[in-house]
Amino acid sequence: MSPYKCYYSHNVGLADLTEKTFRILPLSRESVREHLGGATLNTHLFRQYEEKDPLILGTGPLTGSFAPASCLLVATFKPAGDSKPVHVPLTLRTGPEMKFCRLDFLVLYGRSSSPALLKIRSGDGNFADGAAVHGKNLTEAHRFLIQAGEYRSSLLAGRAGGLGVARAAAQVGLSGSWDKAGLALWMGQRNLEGILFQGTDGLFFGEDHETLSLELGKRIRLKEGKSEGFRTLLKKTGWDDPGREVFRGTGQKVMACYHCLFPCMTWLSFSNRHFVSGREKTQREVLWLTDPAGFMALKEKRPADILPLFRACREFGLDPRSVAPALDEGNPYSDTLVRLENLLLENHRESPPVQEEVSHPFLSGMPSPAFPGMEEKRAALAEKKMAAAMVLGICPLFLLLAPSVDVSDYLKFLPGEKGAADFYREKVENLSERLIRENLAS
Amino acid sequence: MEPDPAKAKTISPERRTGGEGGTPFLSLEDLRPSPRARKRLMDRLMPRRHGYLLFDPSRCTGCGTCEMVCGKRNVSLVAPASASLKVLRNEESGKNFALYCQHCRKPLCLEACPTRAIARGEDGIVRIEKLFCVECGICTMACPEAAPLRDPRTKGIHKCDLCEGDPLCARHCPEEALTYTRGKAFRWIKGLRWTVQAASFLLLVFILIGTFCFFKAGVVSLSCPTGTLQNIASTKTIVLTGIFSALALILLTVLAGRLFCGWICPFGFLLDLAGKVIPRKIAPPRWMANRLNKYGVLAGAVGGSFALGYQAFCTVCPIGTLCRSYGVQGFFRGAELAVVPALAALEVTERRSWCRYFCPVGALLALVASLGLIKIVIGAKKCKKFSCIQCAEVCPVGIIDGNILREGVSPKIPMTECISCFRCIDRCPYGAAKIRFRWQRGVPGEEKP
Repeated sequence: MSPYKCYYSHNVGLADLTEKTFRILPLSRESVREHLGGATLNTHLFRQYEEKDPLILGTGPLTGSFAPASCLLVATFKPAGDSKPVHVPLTLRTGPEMKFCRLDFLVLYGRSSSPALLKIRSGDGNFADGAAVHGKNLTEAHRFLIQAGEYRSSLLAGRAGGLGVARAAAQVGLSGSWDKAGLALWMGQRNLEGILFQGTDGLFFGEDHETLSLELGKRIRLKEGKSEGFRTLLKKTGWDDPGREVFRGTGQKVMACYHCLFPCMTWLSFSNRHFVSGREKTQREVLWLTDPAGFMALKEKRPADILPLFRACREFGLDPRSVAPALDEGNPYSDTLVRLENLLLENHRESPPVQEEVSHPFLSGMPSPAFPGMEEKRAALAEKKMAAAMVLGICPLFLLLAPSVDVSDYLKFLPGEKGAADFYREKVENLSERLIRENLAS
Repeated sequence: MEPDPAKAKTISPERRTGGEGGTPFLSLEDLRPSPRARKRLMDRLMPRRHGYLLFDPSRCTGCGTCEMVCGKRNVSLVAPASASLKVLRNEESGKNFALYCQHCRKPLCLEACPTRAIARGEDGIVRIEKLFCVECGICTMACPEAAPLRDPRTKGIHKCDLCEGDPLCARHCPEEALTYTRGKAFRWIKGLRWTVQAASFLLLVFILIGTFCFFKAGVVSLSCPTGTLQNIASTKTIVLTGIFSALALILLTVLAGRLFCGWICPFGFLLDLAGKVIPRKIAPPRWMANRLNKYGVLAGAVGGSFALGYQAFCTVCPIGTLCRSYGVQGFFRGAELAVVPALAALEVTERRSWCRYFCPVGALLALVASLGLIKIVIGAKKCKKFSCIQCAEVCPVGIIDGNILREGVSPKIPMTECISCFRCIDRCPYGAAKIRFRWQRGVPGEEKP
């Protein structure tokens, strides 16, 4: 059985930040057969390059395919002061774009002497000067990158990451990310300001995938209904409704990652007039709502100005959940904003506090399937599904939000002839159990 | 009793034709055309036109499924970069925009292609013939929408061909932001308008002869507002009943614009009919092509009536003349009736030339229409502008500027000049032309700030 010839380009990119070189190595079929992809193959590659303290970006076999929510790019690295690697799921379009660059995995190691940007395009990587992005707020950096050249997806260390702040969170485009484990800090400490992807190639996945995707889409619409974006995410992961007051007077639009049939992001625009004075008063600010843990942590502390503060955290590249405890409840908005800027300069090295009860035990930043009200058995099942998604290259959150979709539905998208389904079922089950076991042990 | 299928099969050709020497009879089989003839006939009766791919930016979540399926159809790979349509995502403004071929009625890419590889089929779909395409990319530059896209992988040119009538992007779009429709044109307005126009013509010219200028039934009286104005000027007396009788048309204009001109005016109906047969080959002279002329004619009519002491314009008014023409008394007026074909001949320059430039009745109604309650708007987002321009083509008074549409700007329609015929609404395949109240801000399809 050789089911892996189509779903990968079988290329691993090796980026040496010290030497600023980029080369491509073949991805062995044996490794794919053994570890399938995603977080498990990332761990395998991490062990190979462990002495170099690498960052591994990896896709799954289904990333970029017609399988719904096949947007995943897994970042595996060892956070500062931790002994074991952690996995950060990166969504939006990062995974498919990397795969369409003819790269399945990317290994980064070393340390650049100056701020650098890594541009990946058509199976090749180039380093560019990142000084123009260094220390810039997110929107400013984003605008600069758009003007500088065409790219389809970006992963940025952000302002806080570039300054080496422990509370930093990496940013995927303007939408933020699930990084709570220090991916931005890893990038910032190595002077890597960001990675830009532009996938111009394609991959063959399967003839019947479009039909399978349509059938799955119909079932999702029938059983899950229509997604309201971020509010659906909050409802389905056990959070209290933040209330209409928070979103009053805002413009909202549901946004989706790559081929997502049940989107959980919301683009939001709000008026600045209650928070600032002068010329900025008339401006409308823009915010992507993606991180429920961060949003709710900030809301508990500062319910009146949650939206501008959440946006400020994004702009500075800070993780709202770790920032929230450092803010005072009674201070006016302008003082709180100053406090946030001071957090950037204080350069805290201590680890941000982790609220175990709300976050996933090993998938950085993802909501935990064991939220209050969830049965233990169902939570364990959901956790298994999320781990399987991390192996296959599917957004784990999608499987958590759409319980009508099962891992077995995804196995149909994998290649192979008669008997392949049983093989994959067993394989994915073993790998996801291993992933949970290894990470929970840490 | 059930028919025996074995017997049915044994009917000889002789029996079908009535036997040797007998009178041949036609069976249902003989009447039914062959499949090929049927297709020819159907194509002639109902020429197959392509539908329209509509994009609703407010629904698009930017998932990129459309690019995936399109890329797969083009290169048999999941390759969004090789798709014939492109979704431009703006993370900052939250707005997504889909770029795809609009299958223009007059495609610029077709004219620009040096090898004539681009052709417009009988079904209206503009296609690139790969055999002749030299991938020079001139079409990508000529297209105002930049719809022909260069494949970064193969360097070839891809252009939407609507998947030959069943676009995959529309079928797969999970949010139904892309929809394929056979057109949102109403089409029934046209039939209704012609019916109303014909009925009004019959009523005013043949039944209520001569009553357009003034009509009285009991306490209800109706009159032509321009005639009433001239009457006041000529008699130098304000008669309240006259003013009230003119109010009906004034009120109709306030409520629905110059509906009278587009739907009721018998002379307008005649001009519409004449416009069908008279070829327009002469450009109107400069002095004539001025919409302010009609206000001059109105002022002249009122001033003339004042000076002469009788309703000066009414003697040559084409509407009044037409309404008084039926019957022995009317028909023999001769010289007066000659004004009708003379003015209809103006159609050789532009459609409804009389209404555009000279009609004083229209001028008075135009002044009232400036206070009207309704307006016609062409939605900025839904309108496909340069690729369509059907509204500009059908407008009988030429107030929708095709050149502005070609520049990609939504035109503003002056309700003083609009005759409320609603041809633009009837024809627009995208449902972009709509009636709105005067106080409603924005245009349909435009997102609120």
